[in-house]
Amino acid sequence: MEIEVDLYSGRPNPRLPLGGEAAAELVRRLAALSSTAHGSPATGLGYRGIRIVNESDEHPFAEVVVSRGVVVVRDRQGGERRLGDPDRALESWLVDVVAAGLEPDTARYVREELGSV
Amino acid sequence: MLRIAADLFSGRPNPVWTVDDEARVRETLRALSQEESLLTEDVPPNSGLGFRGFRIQLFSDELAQGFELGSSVYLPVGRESRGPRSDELGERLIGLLGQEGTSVRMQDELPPLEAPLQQFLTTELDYSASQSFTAAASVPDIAGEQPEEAAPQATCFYEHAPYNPGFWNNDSTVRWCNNCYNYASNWRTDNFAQPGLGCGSVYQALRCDEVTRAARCDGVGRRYIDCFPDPEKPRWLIALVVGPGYDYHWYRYVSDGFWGHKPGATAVTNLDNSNVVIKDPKTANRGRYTDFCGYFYSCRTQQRRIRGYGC
Repeated sequence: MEIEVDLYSGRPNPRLPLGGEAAAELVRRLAALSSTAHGSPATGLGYRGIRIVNESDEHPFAEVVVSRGVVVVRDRQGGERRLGDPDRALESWLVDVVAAGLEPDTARYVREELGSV
Repeated sequence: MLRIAADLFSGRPNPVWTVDDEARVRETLRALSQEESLLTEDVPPNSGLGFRGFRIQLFSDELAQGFELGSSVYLPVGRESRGPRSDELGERLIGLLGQEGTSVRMQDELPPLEAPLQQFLTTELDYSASQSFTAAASVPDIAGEQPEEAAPQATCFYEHAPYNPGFWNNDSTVRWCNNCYNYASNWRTDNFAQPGLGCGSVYQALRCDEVTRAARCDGVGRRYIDCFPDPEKPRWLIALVVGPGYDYHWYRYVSDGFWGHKPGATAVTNLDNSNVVIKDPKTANRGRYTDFCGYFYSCRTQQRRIRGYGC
């Protein structure tokens, strides 16, 4: 499983491995979220959100996008579920998980965008 | 067996070659089926004179298994092509001519071509691609008609294509693996193209001067200064912005009088960060991309050269 911070346009986004306890915690947190019909992931220039890519069959999802209070979970058959992320708690947690692997300026910027600084 | 006919002549018979090598046939069918949106059932109506495309015929359903292709498909190229990768696929079909297990049906009684068949077809395909944007009139780039940052020293010509976000947005691989530089160049590489990488001198810093240097190394030209000749069509009008130390971003001017852009792996849009249609990237809301570096021209050589590290 890999976690990608979706913030660049030209250069490749930072992408880091997500394994072990963090991956298991992500699965637990996803299971606790409720469906929503509202909201959509951020677009445009700048920080847009977090993307998790799962290339293995260990977990039932292929991709998870966490952005602006919405979580989009895509499975391997092309199915899609939308979950709510109240107070962007999951997104904030994922930023905390990935922050140590980012350049300090980038981590600060992402946290500012999340409104957590 | 695969039979390929290059559909380009009006009077004399079209060149035809057959591929017998099973592995090569499967590789070719795989490449075609992966670009199914570029294929048609037959030659498009009103294709006119010149290199119109390739007719590809299969003679048994055994080899076609798993490729979702019929017994005969047509790959339009040049003016009738369904996307920028059509000519690349065409080059691949021509490339089969030099391979073992490929035989050419010769018309010995006719005058020979100007060059060996493979070379002749490659030249004709290149010419056809360069003419593919003559239907959309070239535009003289004259001061006052478009945003500019400097007084023009020359009148250059550029092309503009209709806004077609679906090409970039509908397929998840195309969307995820092509960035703003791909979109501005209107050239899909599926590996997140990086300025300068294709020419062997990728940018070393996220500043206007450095990204500009790298893009110019790829073949990008400065507006009003580096005018490209007709064989370099399509010559797109593009713009570069930079968030110093952060990232760079490109826009492309489209026929509809606005600019399109592709923020990273997300969908192509014509809206800025304020959800306003982009009439000029210089004045659009660009978020962190605070430095406007200027307007440039993309050209055919640059488009063929760009590449990225992967996706």
